[in-house]
Amino acid sequence: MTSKRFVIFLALVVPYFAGANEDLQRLTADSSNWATWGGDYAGTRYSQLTQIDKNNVGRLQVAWTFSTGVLRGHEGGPLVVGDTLYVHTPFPNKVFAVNLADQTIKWAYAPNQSADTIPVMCCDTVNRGLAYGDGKIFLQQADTWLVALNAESGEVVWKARNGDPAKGETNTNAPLVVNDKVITGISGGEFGVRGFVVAYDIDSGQQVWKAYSVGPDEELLIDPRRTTHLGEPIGASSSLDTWEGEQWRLGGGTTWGWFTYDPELNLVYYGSGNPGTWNPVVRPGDNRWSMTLFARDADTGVARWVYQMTPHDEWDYDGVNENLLVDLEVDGRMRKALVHFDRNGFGYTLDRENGELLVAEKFDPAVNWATHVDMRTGRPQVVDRYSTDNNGEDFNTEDICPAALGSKDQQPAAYSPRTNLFYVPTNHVCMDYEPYEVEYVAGQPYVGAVLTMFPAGQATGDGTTNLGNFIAWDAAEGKIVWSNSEPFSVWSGALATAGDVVFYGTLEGYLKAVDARTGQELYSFKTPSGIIGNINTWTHEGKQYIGVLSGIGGWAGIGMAAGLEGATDGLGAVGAYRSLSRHTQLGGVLTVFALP
Amino acid sequence: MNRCRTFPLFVAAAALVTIGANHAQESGAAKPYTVECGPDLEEGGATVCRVDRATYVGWRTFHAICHTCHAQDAVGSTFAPDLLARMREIDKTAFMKAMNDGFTGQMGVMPPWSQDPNVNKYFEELWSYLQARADGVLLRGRPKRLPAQP
Repeated sequence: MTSKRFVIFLALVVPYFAGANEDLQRLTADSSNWATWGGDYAGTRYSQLTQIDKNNVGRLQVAWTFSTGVLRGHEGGPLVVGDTLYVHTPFPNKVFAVNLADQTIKWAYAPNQSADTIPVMCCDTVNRGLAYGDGKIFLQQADTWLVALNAESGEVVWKARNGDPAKGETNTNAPLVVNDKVITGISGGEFGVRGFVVAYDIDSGQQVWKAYSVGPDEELLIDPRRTTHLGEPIGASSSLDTWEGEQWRLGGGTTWGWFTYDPELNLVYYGSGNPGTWNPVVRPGDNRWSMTLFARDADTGVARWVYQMTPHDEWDYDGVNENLLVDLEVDGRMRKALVHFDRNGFGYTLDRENGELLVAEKFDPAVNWATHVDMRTGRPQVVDRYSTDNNGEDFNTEDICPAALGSKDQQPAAYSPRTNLFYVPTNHVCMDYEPYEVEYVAGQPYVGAVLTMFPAGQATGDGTTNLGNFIAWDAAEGKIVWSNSEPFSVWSGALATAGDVVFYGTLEGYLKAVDARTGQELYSFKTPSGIIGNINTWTHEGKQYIGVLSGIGGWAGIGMAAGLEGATDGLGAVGAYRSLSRHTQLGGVLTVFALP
Repeated sequence: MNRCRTFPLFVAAAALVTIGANHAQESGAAKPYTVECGPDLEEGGATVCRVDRATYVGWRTFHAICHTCHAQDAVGSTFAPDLLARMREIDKTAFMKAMNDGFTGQMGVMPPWSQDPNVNKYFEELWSYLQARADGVLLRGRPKRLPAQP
């Protein structure tokens, strides 16, 4: 959906939805705010602002900075509503409301969370940001408490407990406000957590519905006759039938990614993560509905359609990445499309009304675990040589592309209706993977695979050493339009603007602006730390600003030392120089840019 | 992170072992590992380390569990220390205590591993692996097994 159409559409449709959160829809339709993680419900991360454009972006300057006082990995980005900016931190998940007029702190919220939460977070203590709605700021704390704060005062309005860290349940996701509900998920895919999505009442924090990813139909909120998979009703026991015995109880399918929403269809979109243990040999079957895209009715939670991208995962290709909701012409026909760049390396375009699969193509040429996706069955055609299940337990399957990090992880893509292109931050990393038998103990890691990761060039033999690319993607054709090589994984969320500029951040800490049509670099500035946050934009008193959190960490902060120096090549200067710690150090800082 | 201090040591040790196979146990006091690094014909002549059972099991346990914080090859991440440096600062008693009871560091929190059956059987093996890494004898990457001792 283009932004222009979005505005018209809202004006027409909103009044018909009882309880619709008109406030948030009005705010997201106005690009002077950045009122939800994706800029709009469709998750396009596109802004209509034009003051900063491709001709003047080279003159961008730092306007002001703000230290969060927290050292660990800073994912997500600030929200701006009116004259206030709301910014969050990794654990302990502080929230600051900053007055944009003078950058003073209107209020701060600092939860008191048990340090016991830290070791049950798999890969750093990140948090992907806040949600705004109904005069409240919603924070999904690491210890699973969902907290509603008064946006004016910071006072706690209500709290809801969403899970139990003693069982390995934690949270890292940004919630999403939809109508009179707050939608959130759960993390813990490496602890045998059975994933779910919950809708809480926006006024009281009472649970309205809860839908699991795996298990019995009634807990999945699935209608066997009406919920479809590629157009066919999924039938009874669609999940249970794909697990042995009681394995579904540790079945994974966690929901730690991004949520988007189509107000016209009243459907919420998200994906589920890896099934239980990383050892595929011990869990035969498709392990439904892990690794699955879900479209759920926002009012009832009942699934309209599902699509499993990676049946019976053998590589940890979580399906949680964001779903951009855009109207596209595919094969000569306008579609209400959903575009998703999966960890498994395929870029999917589906019809978001009915879940029909339209396009599934590799968005990194290095991807080798499957030759292609069968468009009739939707199944990836797995290459035996890279099947860790086929090769069995205690066998090291080598040179699988992508690595468990995925060709893309959570870092959200952007879309510009002016170019009709998607801008995708990607990883270019491959791995060796050896499954082995593990025991489950609640609250302890439940993994069962040995992993080593290295630059994709080591597997493809093409002589490259880069660990990332920033690409422009045509989702109707399933083709890369341009690709910028980056030495490290691109782990920041992208931003596209009507000024035909696309922004992203790098792990060394550079904020970069590139030409939306060509990818040519127009501006670069080194922020205080590596960037794994998302670039957002807003206006204050009529002037456009660009903001980004830097603060190296997250899975990217672990993976970066990995594989850069093999046993033989580690002795030279190349290996040492490329180590990320030579480029950047820790520290959470919001850097805000503007034209002079 | 102490990468800069570690690096010269690593280079020196690596230079030694790439000259020929190195029997760590033969040099001085008994070490908890046996490591032989050298050109491997199966790998096109690339340098590969072969290790005893304990060190191999330690490597494997480390790269299934510990690497999610301490990173591949124990070189450390943005939030958990480089264990190559740390292992030279602590003795086996302190290591075992940290494994059993957990450890709160300056940046992160390591949980106790005494209740995790996937880890608690392998404390000795992890000690062997980390000692071999910290001594600069075992290079980065996946080691191969030495033939079983008679």
